Amino acid sequence: MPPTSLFHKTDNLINFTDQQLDARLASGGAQLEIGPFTVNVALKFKNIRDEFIRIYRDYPFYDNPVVLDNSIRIFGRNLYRQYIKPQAFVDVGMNSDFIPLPASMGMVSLEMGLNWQVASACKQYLMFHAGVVAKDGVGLVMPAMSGSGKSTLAAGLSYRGWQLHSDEFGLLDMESGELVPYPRAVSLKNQSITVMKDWVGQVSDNADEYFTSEYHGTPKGTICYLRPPKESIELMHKRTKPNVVILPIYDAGAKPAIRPITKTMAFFRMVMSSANYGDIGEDAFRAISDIINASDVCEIIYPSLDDAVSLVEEFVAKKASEIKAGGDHG
Amino acid sequence: MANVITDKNILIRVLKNPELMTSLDASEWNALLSEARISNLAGRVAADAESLKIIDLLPAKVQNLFKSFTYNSLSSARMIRWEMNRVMRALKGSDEKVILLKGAAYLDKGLSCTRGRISVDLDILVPKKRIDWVEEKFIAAGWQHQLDNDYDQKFYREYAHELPPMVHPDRRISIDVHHSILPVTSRVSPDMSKLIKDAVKSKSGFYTFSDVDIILHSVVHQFQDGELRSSLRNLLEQHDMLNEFGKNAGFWEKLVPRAIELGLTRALYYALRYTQMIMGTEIPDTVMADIRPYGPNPIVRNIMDWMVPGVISPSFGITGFARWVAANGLYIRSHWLRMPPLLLTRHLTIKFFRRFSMGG
Amino acid sequence: MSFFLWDFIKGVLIILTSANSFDRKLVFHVPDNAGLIWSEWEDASIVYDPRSGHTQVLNEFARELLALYEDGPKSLDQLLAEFSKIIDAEPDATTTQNIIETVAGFDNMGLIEPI
Repeated sequence: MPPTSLFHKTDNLINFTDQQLDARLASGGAQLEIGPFTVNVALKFKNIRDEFIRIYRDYPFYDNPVVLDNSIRIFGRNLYRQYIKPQAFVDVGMNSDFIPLPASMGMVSLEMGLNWQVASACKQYLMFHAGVVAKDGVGLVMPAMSGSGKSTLAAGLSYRGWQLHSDEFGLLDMESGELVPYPRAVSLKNQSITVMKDWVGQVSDNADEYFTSEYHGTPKGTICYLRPPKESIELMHKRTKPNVVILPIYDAGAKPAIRPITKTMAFFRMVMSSANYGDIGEDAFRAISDIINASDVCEIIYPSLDDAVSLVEEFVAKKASEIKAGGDHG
Repeated sequence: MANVITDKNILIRVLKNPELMTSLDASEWNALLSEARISNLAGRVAADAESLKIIDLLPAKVQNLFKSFTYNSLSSARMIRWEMNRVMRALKGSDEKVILLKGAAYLDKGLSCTRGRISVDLDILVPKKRIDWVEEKFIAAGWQHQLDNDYDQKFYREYAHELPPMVHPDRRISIDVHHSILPVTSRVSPDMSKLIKDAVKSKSGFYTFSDVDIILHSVVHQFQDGELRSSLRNLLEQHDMLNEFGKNAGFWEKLVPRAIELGLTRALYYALRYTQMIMGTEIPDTVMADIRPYGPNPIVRNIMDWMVPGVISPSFGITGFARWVAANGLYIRSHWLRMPPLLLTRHLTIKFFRRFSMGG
Repeated sequence: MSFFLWDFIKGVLIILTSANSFDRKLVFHVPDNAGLIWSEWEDASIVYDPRSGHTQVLNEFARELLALYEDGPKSLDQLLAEFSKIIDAEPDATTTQNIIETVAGFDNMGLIEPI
């Protein structure tokens, strides 16, 4: 087993109060663990810190220095940009030129920076642009393009009993063949914001606390971030082997349906969704072949989140009962 | 001879002595990883740990990151080799002497400096009179020019030492076809026929320069061309090659005379001085004595001694305005060497106007 | 019947255009060091070429043609002769054209190389 799946027992994990966390973030930064990655986050803008704390306060933070995957620092390049006309400059430590955003965009710059670091540098895990969730031994991968509703679907499932791995960064450990949870803030766009506020409201009395403010006028329209369910954060080191692949298609006018696809098509879509398949090469080819061989595959078309969740539950039932029949020795 | 800035630097210390990796604490690791990434040497550090078989002794997180760096460098090597394969296919049926340059040449010769190395393009060289023929063959095999801007195309064709870069749409790698190792307008213009004549054929069917000429070519790029961003990596590759070729009989005897013959003594002077100063390269005293007369006057040398260690990596001591001066000083200097002054002014002006009009 | 190959890396259907100028006498083979890796499913074969790092999908027909090259080096003319022996008939013009396009596709992708 790769040692990375465990907490580093000797390093000090601590529970910050909001004030302590704020002070850390404002100075040298706080060392935040999200799934397999540890990143030092420094935020010079108070509004971004407030949003950050709301979303990430239940995550593990380290006290002693630990080896980091990345650092991210968001700051104004000068006093004018810090205080008068605040503009958030993002330093991701990789020689890349990030276009500064108005500081009022808050979490958008942080989340974009974190996305960039993972998407461009992570080759140790095979990465899928996919929603990934797990439950009772079912590892479900939903590869899809932006705008297919996969983020909403993954988040929707996670607030109905599934463990959220990620709404858009599926990670696979190629040695063990397991999906690696990476439960970041779920990025919701435009009409899906209302859908999810409603959806979370059905199971929680204080649903508002789970969401950031809505950021209007971004290149992708209105964006809002949703905190993963507490259980998914607690389970961020619990890995599952992938065994179901579903291609989600959102169509407001469609009749909900499960449609068969060939294994070749499923393979094709997994490859297409992977940002680092080409760089990893042979190991990636073998890993995706193994996933497809082990998986039930289909396409679902749905007009609403309710329908999508029912279709998913219906399709995975067969795999779930196979796993149950397989006994506890699996 | 030693330099305080670079001796303290964690990346250089680890490159010189990879065993150090077994005793780093978390903060030192973070500094090392960050500098290695910025200098494009993360793959190299991982490869050193691999070849010393010390991976298992490193923190789990580091082992995990090293996997990522290794995939990157393997991917780069695979792409370069495959592009070489495709070049061979495109030129099938001719017996043209096609010479690999830089990263591709190192790979083809299996040099130790290729471990963990990332290359983003493939450089080849053919005699000037054959360059149009090569271009035709590539276009016929599906390669396309990357520059659609007429001025840039014209600049390349008239003043640079290569065709405008080409890319095959099925692949992600850019190919540069050179006919000289320096721009035709450069004040220093080594006689290419001598380099081509001494090139040696390898199993792949390609040719590479002789050992001495390979080093001189790398040196020219570091200290005469404009590639200052990646220069720690270049300095390291020179260090590696001097170590590796230095073991071959006759290498050291040929090095300085060949630099004199080709007119590349100043660049070699700097390379030997700074590999020795920064990387601690073992160079015979006689060689250092032979090259010394070709160095600059003491004032320039002192300035270079201050600037070079300061700019080879973004994190080495010199920061802010001083760093800007050092980097731009070196840039203008090396650009000045590439082109006669009038031409240089014209090029920079046009570049400036293009940027200006694009921004506005 | 249609014969085409997807280039998975780009996800674009490669349109094989070089077929008309294809040299029928040039002898091609699958290089010894190719080390092709296969995943085969009911409707297609997927091949990973470790040298190029590219992944291609071959339908059943293309898979069989490539297998003929894996058996040994041959020119296009020899391949066509072998093919008519297998089907025990002369392939019609469309089939022949499809074979030529498929072989040109193999060459483009580097799955086969001239000796």
